[in-house]
Amino acid sequence: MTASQALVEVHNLQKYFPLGGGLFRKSRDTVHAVDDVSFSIDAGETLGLVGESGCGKSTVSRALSRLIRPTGGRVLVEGEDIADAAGGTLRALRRKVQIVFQDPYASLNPRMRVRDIVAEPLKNYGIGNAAERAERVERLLSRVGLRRDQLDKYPHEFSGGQRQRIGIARALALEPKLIILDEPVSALDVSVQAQVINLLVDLQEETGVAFLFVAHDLAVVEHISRRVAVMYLGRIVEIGSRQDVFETPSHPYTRALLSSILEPDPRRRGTPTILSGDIPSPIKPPSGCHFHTRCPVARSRCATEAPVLSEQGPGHLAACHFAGV
Amino acid sequence: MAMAVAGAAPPLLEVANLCTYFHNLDGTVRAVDDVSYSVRAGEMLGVVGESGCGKSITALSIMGLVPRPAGRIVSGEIRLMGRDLVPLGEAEMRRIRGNDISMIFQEPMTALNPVLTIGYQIAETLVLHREIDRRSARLRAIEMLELVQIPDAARRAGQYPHELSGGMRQRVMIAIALACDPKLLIADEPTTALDVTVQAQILGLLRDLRDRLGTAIVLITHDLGVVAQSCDRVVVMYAGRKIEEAPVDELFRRPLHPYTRGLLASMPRISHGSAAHRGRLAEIPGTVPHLLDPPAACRFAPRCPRAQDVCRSSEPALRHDGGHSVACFFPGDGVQEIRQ
Repeated sequence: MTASQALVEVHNLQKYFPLGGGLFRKSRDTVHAVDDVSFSIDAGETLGLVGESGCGKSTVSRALSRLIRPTGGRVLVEGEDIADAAGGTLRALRRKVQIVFQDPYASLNPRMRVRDIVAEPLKNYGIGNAAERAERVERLLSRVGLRRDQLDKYPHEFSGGQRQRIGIARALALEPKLIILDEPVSALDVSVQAQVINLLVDLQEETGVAFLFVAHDLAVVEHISRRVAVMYLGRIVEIGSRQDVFETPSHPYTRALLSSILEPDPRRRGTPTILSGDIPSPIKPPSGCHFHTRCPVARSRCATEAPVLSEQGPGHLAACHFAGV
Repeated sequence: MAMAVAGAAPPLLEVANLCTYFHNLDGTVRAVDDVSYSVRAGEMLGVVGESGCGKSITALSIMGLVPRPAGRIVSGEIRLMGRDLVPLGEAEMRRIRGNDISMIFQEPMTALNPVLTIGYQIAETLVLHREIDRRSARLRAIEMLELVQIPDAARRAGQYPHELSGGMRQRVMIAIALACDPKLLIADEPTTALDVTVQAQILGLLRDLRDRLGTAIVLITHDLGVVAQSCDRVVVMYAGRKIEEAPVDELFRRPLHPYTRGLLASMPRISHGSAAHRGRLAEIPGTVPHLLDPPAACRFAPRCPRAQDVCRSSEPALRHDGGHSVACFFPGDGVQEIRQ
């Protein structure tokens, strides 16, 4: 691994899901969930991935953790292609890349005690003996803010925020290089969200773990991310530093997203750039630029020719024929 | 923007000292405990709070839809144009629901019948409440779809819920709710399940309908952003109680209750180029309490940075200062300290 290499490099990632069909019938339609997506994540940084439902952000996070196998493209983790990894290679990958899900209750086994839930990955990889594991589990759980007397409880005995802390402790157990956080705070109450976000920021400082932070809440993403990627219908439409994307957005979709943020301040009561219509179906995405059907600046060229990501500034890319116009 | 005339007409809806309790084997859950608020004609009132604060149970109490037999309105009054709804029987409530007061919910898919066309479902409300034949009801249904800005309304009326997107379904719910021209619409987290760009559309539609039809709206939400952007007045609830109430500008400029202040401080904000808001978010420690037989104390005291002995031994009453009221022994007095 050279010094300049990113922790994760994703090249032209594609994931198609065949629809319908059956045992004897060929499937007719395909969902283009992720279509030619490329980005990288440096060690220790947070990349925010935002977009609305159906944009493919969750599919990207599942492909990165190899919970699903990509249809095409390459995913390099520390230089090693994991897109087709299997067996021992895949096991080794999973030590490096862990995931925390949106619904903390659905992702914890209700029949296991908290201490066993967090010990499971350690056991799985044969790390330490029983006593060492127990000690590490206690350290992890106390780090995420659980009390000693709570370690023998079951998931249902905890609140949503506490369950998410347990999920985070489990993800940390193997000291991964990257944790994928798929909408980690969107199921939590506002007052608890802040606790979990602060915890994540602290943990990153202490351990140097990188985050892929997938969310639809732009204010949360702005708060936690160093760089941000915006997806629309399976493609990245804009990527850049937090300042690039939030302060000088180039893509009309990014601008529309930013203007729909409802700020908790009545003095900033704005008229959002209201996009007409709904997000088109990813089964039959619009031709050319996927966004042209809702775009306020679309012209005829947009319906026929898909724009490629082009540089707007150093490290700031946008896929729009009229970016920044 | 506000259509309300201060103090002149009596309020459209008055919730007075409402207590809705749930009885189970472990004891009594005081889901709504002595809550009062009022809504004036044409007003948009925000009711904000986290899960379990009683904001939805208050709404269900108004609608006469508290799940029975576990739940019961124990005391209090709900006056619609002066008439108390609490003692009314089911038959009378049926005439009021959908006619005088309507409600829309968070998840439009589960609230719509999947095997009936949306046109039929709108017409159904009209046939039920108005002396109107099916044909005219169907025409009126198409008008309603146009009112909520669904393009190609005549064709859409013949479609089933699964053929519509989430945003469209919520528009259909609004069309059903407004079909009989109610005076009050209760919207319970109407945009929570929607994408941000669609959320902006739906909130814009609700405001627009309020302005055009004069329907008063109670907007129940956990999102202070939604409140700041759409409401005239705000009620903040915590653990079954109303803890603060103020006009929207006043509440965000001068939040008094430590809980309101904590909520505002804990929200990440778009920085607009300044580095001021970044860094650590302020936290409210702990979690929302259980409402099972709560002690006679301020329910926020265990999480409150300002709590003293008196907060743990007695409950603060609401204190009023003009249109701004707060239930706290030690309310804050300025926005400075919450921004840290």
